Amino acid sequence: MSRFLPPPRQRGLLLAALLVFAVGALGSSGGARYFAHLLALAAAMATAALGLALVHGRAGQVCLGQGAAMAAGAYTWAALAPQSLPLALVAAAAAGALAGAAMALPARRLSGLPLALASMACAVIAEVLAMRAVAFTGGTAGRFVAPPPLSAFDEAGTALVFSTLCLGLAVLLLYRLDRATLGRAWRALAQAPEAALALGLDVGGLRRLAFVAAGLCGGLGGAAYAQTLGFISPEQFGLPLSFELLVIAFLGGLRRPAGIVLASLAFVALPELADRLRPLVGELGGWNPLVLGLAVVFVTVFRKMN
Amino acid sequence: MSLAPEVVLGGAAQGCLYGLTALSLAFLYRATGVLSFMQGEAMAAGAYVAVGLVALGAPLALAALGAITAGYAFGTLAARFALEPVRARAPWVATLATFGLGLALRGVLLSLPAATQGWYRFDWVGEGRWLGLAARQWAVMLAAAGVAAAFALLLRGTTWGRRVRASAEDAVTAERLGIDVARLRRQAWGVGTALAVAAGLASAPVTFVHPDLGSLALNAFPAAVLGGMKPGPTVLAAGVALGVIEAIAAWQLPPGGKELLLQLVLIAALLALPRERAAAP
Repeated sequence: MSRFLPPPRQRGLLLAALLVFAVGALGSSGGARYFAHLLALAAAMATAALGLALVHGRAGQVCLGQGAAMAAGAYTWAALAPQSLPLALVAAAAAGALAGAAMALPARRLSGLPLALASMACAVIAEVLAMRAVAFTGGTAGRFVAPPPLSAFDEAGTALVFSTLCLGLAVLLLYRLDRATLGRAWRALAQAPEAALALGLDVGGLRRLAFVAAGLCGGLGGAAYAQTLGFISPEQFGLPLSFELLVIAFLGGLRRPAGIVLASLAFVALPELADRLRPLVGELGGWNPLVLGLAVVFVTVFRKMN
Repeated sequence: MSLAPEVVLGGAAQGCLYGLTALSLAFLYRATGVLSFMQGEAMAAGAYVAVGLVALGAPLALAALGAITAGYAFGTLAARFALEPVRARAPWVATLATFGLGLALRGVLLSLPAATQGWYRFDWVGEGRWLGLAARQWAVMLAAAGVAAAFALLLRGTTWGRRVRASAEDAVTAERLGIDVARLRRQAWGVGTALAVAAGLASAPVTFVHPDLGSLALNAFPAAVLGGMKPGPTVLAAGVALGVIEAIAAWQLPPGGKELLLQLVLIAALLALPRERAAAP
């Protein structure tokens, strides 16, 4: 278990995150189905955030464009799911990995801020493409995602099962990669880039592979996200989403999946919590961004770091 | 094709705004090591402060000064209580903090009924045309040139500017020479935010003052990268060039083409520029 749980000194903030989820989600009046919907959404966000944790924790890079990978996965899933579910899942993961590869185009020669900016540019490009490729994406009007034909569950239940499956796949993938030679090479790269270079490791290639693996997680997360929401449109996948995922990855800690799952639970429940506090503040149009922004600042200021 | 000069000049006016915003991005990046994602929101909030001051009866110049001062105060306070403590641990986390602050600022703007329900102008030029271009666009270019010149003077010609540049170059040595680097960094956050507010005010004659005023900051990132993330004339020139490219793309390409083109320029610059020009610190 200790491989999955966050280290003790970081548990305080994560317990607070859980508290946010408890108050926000359990207090909402949506009932069990809405609760399942929130859980599914959190699992989808966690799946994509796991990829960012990999990019930063292993390759030492920051990716500002995970929203692009999610968009690729989400639209691919929406297009192919009616034909075949397994095919759609594989294609969504592949589309995400492709987006990751596009973000990592300059990875061989650059790292740090310029690479982060390249990934950000990809997020903007993905949003514009999603708006303009109307035949595939439905343009700014968005498109519905048909519920898969699983009669055993209702819509929210299906989404929860599917999101959990995607999360499980991502965790399994990262766990396997971590144990393989590639994982050891990444660890060397994260802890001592110069030493990794001196050992003859292909540093640029490793960086690129980390982005590809992260994109794959993003693609899976995007598919789960699309299935959970049942409706997707381009502005959902813009820069704010990429930043939210980065905040989740940062709050959850870069090594342990459980931390990331907790952080995304809190993140998904935060708007609910803001809604519950709304009677205190009255009619404020910007209440949700205000709460979210202050929460992000709070987290960055008070989170302990290793 | 007689439209061409107007398109190019209009694009250059817009590009001046990209250049100014990019200047604030590059300055903050050099002075503090943090990429700021709150410049756009600072532009919008500053423009609203100016509009509010005018509504209270202040003359235009005083309102502009008040907004810029408010930007400086916000920047230093944010640095004191959030950004600098976070930056000291990890610069990229401070980038997340700037995103949070920007979001909070936006939340405040959207919460003001007066801000969302009306369209405002902070208009310090009248109507009129000159050489085929509206007087407003000439005013934007003049204002941008003026602000950039004042900023260059501050950075190159004053002791404060020399100290900031020295600390950016080598913080440890600067500290040993008796410069209070931490205080200087807080002031740099103030100046960088004030610069963004100035860019917002400069944009006000050509656009309305609205909560999304700062969305043009997105196009400042390519300009800052093309200028090597160094606060200097190259960043400004890159901004103008991008503005012209965007105007021509908006005129000639299908919708969406201009947004794509600017981001592709950013990626191409990262792929092709020599490493030390490509914003590597």
